[in-house]
Amino acid sequence: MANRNKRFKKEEDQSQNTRGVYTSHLPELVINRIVSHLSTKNVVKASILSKEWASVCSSVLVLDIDEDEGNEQRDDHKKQRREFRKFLTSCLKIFEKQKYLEKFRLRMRYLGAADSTIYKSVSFALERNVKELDICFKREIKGTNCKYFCLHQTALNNAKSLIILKLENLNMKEDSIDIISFPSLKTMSLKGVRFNTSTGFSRLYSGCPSIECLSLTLCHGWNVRLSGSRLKHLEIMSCEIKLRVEATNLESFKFRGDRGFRRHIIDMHKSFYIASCQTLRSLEFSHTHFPIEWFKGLDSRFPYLERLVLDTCFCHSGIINISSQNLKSLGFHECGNNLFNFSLNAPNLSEATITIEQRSHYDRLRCFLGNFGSCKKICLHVNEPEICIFPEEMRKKSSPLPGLQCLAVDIETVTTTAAHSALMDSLRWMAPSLEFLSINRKYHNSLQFVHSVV
Amino acid sequence: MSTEEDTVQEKKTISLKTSDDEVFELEENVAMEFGTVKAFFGDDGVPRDMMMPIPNVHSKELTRIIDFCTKHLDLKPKAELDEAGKKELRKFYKEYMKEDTTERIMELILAADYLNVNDFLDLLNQTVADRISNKSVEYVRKLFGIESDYTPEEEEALREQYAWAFEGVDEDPAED
Repeated sequence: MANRNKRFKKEEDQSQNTRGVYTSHLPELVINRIVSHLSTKNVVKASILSKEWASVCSSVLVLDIDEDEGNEQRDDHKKQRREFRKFLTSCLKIFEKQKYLEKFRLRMRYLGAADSTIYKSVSFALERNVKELDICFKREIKGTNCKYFCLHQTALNNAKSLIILKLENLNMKEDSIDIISFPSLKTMSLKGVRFNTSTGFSRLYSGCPSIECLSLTLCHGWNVRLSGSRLKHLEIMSCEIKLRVEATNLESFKFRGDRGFRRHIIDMHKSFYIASCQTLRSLEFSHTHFPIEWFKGLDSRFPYLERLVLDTCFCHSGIINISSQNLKSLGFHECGNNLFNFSLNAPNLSEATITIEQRSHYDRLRCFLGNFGSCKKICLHVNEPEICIFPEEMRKKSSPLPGLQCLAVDIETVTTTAAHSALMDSLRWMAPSLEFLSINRKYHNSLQFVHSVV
Repeated sequence: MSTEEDTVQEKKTISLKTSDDEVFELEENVAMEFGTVKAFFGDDGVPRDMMMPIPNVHSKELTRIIDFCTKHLDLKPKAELDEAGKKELRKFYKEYMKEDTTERIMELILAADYLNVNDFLDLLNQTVADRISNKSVEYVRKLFGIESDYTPEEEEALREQYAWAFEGVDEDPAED
């Protein structure tokens, strides 16, 4: 370890380019740490630097292989694909001696070949007690004949050590009557995954007794029932499924209702049931259509609710009426000018993030903002500054946010200096007790921060 | 025991003496971010007013490490509170090493390694890794002064075998 404390010196009298040239030897420990931050593509490159580097490189604990890494410029796609497959096979040889892996991530295109190499990679990782397995196939958007890789579930047989499993854009085939066991699995994320049977997902999930975080995206046609006491975080994004959640310790639920490009809004009442999750602390909904009485009795259904996000949501009746005693943080992204029909009773609300895209009637806006009177900190995102430049006559009325201390404003479009100064005046009326104000605006196509203390 | 203990609690400081004989006084909470310092003083035993020598660290590096730790200590609890705090911490990590040459970063790595400042070490190592990612082998060899002990034939064979890894490389930067 004596090498550790050597200082690097510049050799001033070398004939070559002297800037950034070291003559001292980089200690192995330092090489090791740097290499551990590199993607596998760069690790393999680095193994050519010298034999010492090769030795350090072959003992990395993370394999992160991305077919598209750094290859945007290439035109010869077929050759590139051949070379990538050859590289993947070679990788399994380079890192063969490694007895242990922390993480294996593979991101590639699937065009109908290379099945055996992919299977070899998965078993390679599992044999080395990998903790995190992340397999993602890129979907070709333009291809009409989209092929999906088919993963036989028994390929995941040896997964005692697996803690995180992420699968994207593949078909799962159940090829055994036994349930695959994932005793240590805490996080599972499935995106665009299809099972060959209707009970496929339920059976997979039943083999995960320790699971705490589950995320499903673009998964369709399932009938999902989630029970158990370990599940803490649940995310359902753009899925067309029937969901029943009876997890007794669920803390957070995030839901997105639209399916890809089509705004297919899923009715919360019919397909989803999360009423009995009394332990919920955080709820996040986007592109969701709520039935009339959904927000009634929020306090009794979710007594510990601290955080609520409503992003482009609407309610059948048109009115969103939120009453929650413990709510501390609220996120609201308006949808179709629904600012008018929003009322909030949250005495403990201390922070809010509000996004407004269209100009609305200023009096209505004033009432809307008045809902957030108890907040100490607000982040306001607007498309243009005019949205919150209140006209002079309006400013004779009382300020909507008398107690606000900290305000951050984000403006999407280019703002002129004149508009900026009109905005400042308006904000000073809106929130007279401000201690900290920051305005983030686009100026000539670049972001410019303007920090000022009011 | 001095009578100061009976008065209003004063900010506790720790003194460090660098290789160039400069003495730095740091607030205790910042100094305890250094694993080596924490181990030196332990929970009890070594009195806090004893000056700790750090003969392998130059004052130039120590100043920078103290700067990082102070700012980091301020931002970290905010990041745990809300999204805005997390964003600010990410921005801090992104911008903090922007202006430094790779050589400077290597000097800081040595100092941070000796003092056992893990958060800063992670950032420094990640920064170096980012700077050598996607660069040519020649550039990285020159940067670190590495002499290759492969024969040209051996190297050629490796380049051919792992051809995919050598595609899509950025142009060598003009200077660093």
